[in-house]
Amino acid sequence: MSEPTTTPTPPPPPSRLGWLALLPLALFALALRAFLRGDVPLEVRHAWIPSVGVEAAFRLDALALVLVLLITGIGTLVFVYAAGYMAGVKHRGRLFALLVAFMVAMLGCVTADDVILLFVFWELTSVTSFLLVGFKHEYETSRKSAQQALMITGGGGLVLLAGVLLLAHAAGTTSLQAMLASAPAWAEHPVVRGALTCVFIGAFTKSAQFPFHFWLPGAMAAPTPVSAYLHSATMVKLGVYLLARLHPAFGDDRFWQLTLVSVGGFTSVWGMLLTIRERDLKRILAWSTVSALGTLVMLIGLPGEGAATAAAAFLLAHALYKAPLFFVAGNVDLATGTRLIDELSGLGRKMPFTSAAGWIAGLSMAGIPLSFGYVAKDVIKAAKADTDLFQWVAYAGAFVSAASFAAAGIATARIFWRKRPLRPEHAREGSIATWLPPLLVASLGIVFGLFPERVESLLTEAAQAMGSAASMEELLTDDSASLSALAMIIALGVALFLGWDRLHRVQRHFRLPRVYQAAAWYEAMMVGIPAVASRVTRRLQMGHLSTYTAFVLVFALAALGYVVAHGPALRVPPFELALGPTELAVAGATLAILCASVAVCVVRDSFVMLLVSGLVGLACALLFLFLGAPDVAFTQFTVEVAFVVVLASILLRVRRLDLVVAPKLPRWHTLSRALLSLGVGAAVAALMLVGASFEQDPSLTEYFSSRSVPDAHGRNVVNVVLVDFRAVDTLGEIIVVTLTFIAAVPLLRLLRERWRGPDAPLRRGARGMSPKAHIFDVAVRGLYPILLASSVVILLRGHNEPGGGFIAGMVAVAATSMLSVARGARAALAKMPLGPHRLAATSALLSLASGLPALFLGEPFMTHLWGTLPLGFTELDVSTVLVFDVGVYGAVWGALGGLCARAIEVDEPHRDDPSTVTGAEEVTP
Amino acid sequence: MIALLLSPILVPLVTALSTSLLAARPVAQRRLGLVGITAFFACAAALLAHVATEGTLRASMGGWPAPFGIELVADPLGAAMVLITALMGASALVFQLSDADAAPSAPSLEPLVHAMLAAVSGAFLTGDIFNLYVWFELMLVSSLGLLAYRTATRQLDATLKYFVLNTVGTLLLLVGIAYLHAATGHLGFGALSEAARDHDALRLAPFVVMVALAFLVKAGAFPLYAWLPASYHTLPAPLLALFAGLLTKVGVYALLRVLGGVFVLTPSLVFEALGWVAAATMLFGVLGAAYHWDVRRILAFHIISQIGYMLLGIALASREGHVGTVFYVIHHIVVKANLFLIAAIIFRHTGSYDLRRSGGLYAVRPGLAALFAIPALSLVGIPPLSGFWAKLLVVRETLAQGRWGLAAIALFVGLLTLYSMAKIWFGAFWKKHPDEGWRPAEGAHLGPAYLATGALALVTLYLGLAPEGLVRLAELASAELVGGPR
Repeated sequence: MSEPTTTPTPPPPPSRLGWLALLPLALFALALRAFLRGDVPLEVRHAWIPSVGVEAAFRLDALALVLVLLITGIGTLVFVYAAGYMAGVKHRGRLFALLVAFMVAMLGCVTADDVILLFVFWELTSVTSFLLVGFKHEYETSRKSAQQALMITGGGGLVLLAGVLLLAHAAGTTSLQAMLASAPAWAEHPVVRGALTCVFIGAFTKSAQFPFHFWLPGAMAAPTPVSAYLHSATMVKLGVYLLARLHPAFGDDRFWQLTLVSVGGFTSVWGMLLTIRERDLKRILAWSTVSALGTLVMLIGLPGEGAATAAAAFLLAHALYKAPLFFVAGNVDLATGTRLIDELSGLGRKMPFTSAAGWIAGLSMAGIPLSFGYVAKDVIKAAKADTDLFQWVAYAGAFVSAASFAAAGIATARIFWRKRPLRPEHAREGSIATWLPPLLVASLGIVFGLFPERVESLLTEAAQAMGSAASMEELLTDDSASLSALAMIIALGVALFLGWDRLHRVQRHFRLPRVYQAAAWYEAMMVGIPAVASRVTRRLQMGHLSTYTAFVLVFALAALGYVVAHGPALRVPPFELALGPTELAVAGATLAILCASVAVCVVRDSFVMLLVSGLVGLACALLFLFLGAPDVAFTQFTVEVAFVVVLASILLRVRRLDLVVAPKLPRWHTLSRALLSLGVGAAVAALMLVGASFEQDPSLTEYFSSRSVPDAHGRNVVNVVLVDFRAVDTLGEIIVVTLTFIAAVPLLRLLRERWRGPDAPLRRGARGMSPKAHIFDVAVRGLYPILLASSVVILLRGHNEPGGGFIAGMVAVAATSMLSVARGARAALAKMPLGPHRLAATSALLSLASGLPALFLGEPFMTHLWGTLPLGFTELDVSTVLVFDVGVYGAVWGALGGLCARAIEVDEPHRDDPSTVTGAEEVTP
Repeated sequence: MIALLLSPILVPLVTALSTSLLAARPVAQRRLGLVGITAFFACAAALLAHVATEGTLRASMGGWPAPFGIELVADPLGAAMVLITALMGASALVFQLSDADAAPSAPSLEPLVHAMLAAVSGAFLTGDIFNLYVWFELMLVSSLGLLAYRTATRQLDATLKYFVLNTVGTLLLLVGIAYLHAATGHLGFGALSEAARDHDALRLAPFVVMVALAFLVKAGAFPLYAWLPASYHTLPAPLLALFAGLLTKVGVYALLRVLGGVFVLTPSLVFEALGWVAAATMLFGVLGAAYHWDVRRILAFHIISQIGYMLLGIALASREGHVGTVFYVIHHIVVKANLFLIAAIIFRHTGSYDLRRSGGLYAVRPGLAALFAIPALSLVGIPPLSGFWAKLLVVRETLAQGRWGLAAIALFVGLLTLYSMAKIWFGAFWKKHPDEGWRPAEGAHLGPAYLATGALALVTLYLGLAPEGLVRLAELASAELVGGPR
């Protein structure tokens, strides 16, 4: 700190958020105490989601403890470091919050004793990592890196989920301990191989193994504390941890060994080769991290006693030297504004503490004697020698060690030591919060190197949790070949270090074809997803309603065809030819329906089409009549008339506005649509025949006809069904009708008002009529009350004779429509009691209310009550049924009558006074 | 008790009709609407509480016994769905009080909304297939009214597509019901289910498939979903949330009821086919989401994709599968509606639903970002949020049945969902707003909006951290489903 600085401003004071470091520190102390007191393994179990078989089970054994100590220990220093590094940076509070969240997720993940629980925390680390990588989210590159990390680890997570679920399925439990304990019993389960493959993919993505290795250097877009913590010391070790955790169950499996050793070995070599390509300090460290992770994976896959101990030792050592190196890189970046090794040199004098930390950590990384890295490397070598199975692994290991040596030199000697002109000039040491953490961690590496027995028991126990039992001492003492090997490695390392720049230039001539680059695959995927999505979606969602409809119908036909084809042969009911007057009438009506249907498809003029389709409806009404259903026939008839009236008025208006431009369709279009229609018609008809061939349970119809008179007090079964047996349906329908009116009013008004062109020719109004119209006018004036009166009669007698509220309402609608045509819609609407909208809503409420009294008597809704009202001279039968039917009548009249009148009004001339256009009772804002 | 059973239908119906009588007095209308939704919510909560403790509630309307009268049934599934309906209605109406893309006031707005809620409730409570049709009809009419009431050209275009395609579905349903009635003589679920046992399942299958097809149209399954992305984005936010949350799920519910309960004996080839329909629905839905830039369109396509998962649960034709579907449906309703509502807040701040013209919110509105992250991550299926458990239940059963292909597609779609959700995150939150001088909307009236979305986010969090209750309920619901709601 006493170093004179060339810049006048002192380093910014560390952020107070650094006190958060006390949290991991406390946890670290707790974990350490638990270990020293021999409380390990610790177990906590709580029921969480027993129905899914997930338990909130945590178990802290030695393996978990190593990671917990790393997470909290390194975590403490990361928080301190971040306080210095992020001082004065905007939104640093968010960074700290995310770091805390990440730490919790990590701790949960390594202590979880339930695979689902483990997965929960696993995904949380991915999410927090995503948010941390994208901390500088204004930059496109930051976002891209975050996305890459998310897609790779997230995608891997999904695969891992499948693996975990399959493992749990095979083992019959989600508890890790139970799973491992019973492993021999289920290891032969057929799904285990697939499950392992999935678990591998999950672990490899998280721990940046080939071919998913490329996201890790990308993640260096994160602020340095994040890189040091997540992407070097802890999160990326999760994959390794998971494999180590499962090792006791599968360690002897050939598939397990081969996969881990080959993928891990390749990654460790490949990662080191890739460091040579980089000039950015952080990326150099990132690739060497990838390589180290590969080494760890390989160690787990190696058979033999020593491998597990070696893995545990190297796990610790790597964290102890790599985290400080990241801190150092961050300090250099802060001090100089660059991380490119070509622009850095001779910083040692300007930044003594940082450089000291760098030197110590570098020694560890290089594997120089006395450092913990040396001990770990030694252990690794011994472990590798232990297995004659994978001899070539030793050569790979030698190369990786030498390259690490060289990389350590690049990261330290070159930038701190090299005397060549000091660059950049203004470099200076930062606050204590930035240089103390690396110094501490790195020194710890040396301490452990001098006294390896300090950590021996912990590492040996951790190794035992992985299922192997060699003690570290055993491995350390077996150093027959290691000195000469070390000398060789150092020689090679020095050569690599000296030739670094030359190698860098050479490798530029050796570019892998893109097909062999995993990153290129990823990029292709990221380009491919939107491209395929755009293609598919634009084809499927092209915007043509007619094509959409065709989709639906074709699919429906295909589905029905599929089922019918797989079903029993269709049985068509026996057909008997009988010729009576009824049959002839029915045949006539059917013929009329057929002809009209064909005509609808053939005519071009929309108005004619409407009229012909009205014919279809009328013929249907006739058919119903001949088949002995006068109520249905009458309803059909009146509804059809109303339908034609409404549509005709609207069509007239639309025509006048010249809105319709019928596109000229190609011939195949028409033909294919025609074929489709025929197909649908044929299918519907054929299925009806099939339906008729079933032996129907007649109990329902029999019940209705037998109970209608005695229990429901009505001789007209159709009406009794409507107002009593299935009154709830009817209630729903009248509300549908009411709502239809409410929904249609804005549309009709739009049609009337929006396109009110000044040149739109006005139709003859009520005034200035022709003589013929005048006669019509007079006739309607007389007819209107008669129609209304008869509608009331139809309503009242409906329960016993053909009729009822619905039909009566439709008659009233006809009356209103006629009046609208003759005297204008306003006049007709004014004649409606309460106005159409209120009439409909009030009536629907009345119908609804008629079902309520029963509730007070403890009967179900819509249980009708009957009684007689003495009037002195006579008695009046009253019932809630009548109230209900009156409601139906009013709702139908109000809603459909209003609809007809409003539709007719659409094509009426406007009056200039806007207040007359909309009545007070209307649904108008 | 009968009153309690009926209340979730009658209360919104009465609210709909009486608000329509107040058409000339907008303030009174809105207040009455709020009173109505509160009452609805209270009734629905009481009903679920009753059903959860005392068991299924059923009553035959008109006092005519079961196969003859229309039966209303509140089993655990139905009651839970009704409560979630009330929750959605309440959230939408509270959100409507804010100024974040609220639905423009109109006299027909409140009646239509409440009628739609009544229809949805009715569909969940009825035990009669024709009565179900009636509620579907009311749903169709009120949704059309809500789509069209603003009468701009793009809304009318949307309405037309919605109308035509849904009407095809409705007609399929009507014809299917008619044929089922012709074949069995029954309409009640219980009686139909018994009759189905007496008939050759393969002979009855075409009619069941017809009805199922209709429900698939309503649910928005591949390739029958064209109406959904063609119309949803034209709705104002609170209505969009209602549509997105509820309507397609009524289709899924009905399909579950019919294929998982009433006609559970339907031949396995139907379920086999449904599995692939589900897979295609997931895949093509999420591709649509990956293509679009309008938040509403992305989210609309997500609905389709997520419907695929729910259908997959039905297609697995096992109790575990049904549990997955029930959990999925309830989780999804909350999450989806919330996402659309939050999208409206984003819109209010950035001025656009188009991700290319928005951004910068993470820096200035971190709370909103966190609020968005909860339902967004839940939809993707990130633990420990509700969507994770939903996906877990479905995928686990898929794997347990050895349907590797379907499981692989389900997981791959999860990745694409993550991709498309990240797109919203980047576009609206992380990247800078393209307009240099942009500031978040000051003076926006967002209190009710945050209240509604915050409450829904809390529900999602709760379902994620303590899913046991809902899983139990789903198990109870599936147990009652099989054998029909008898």
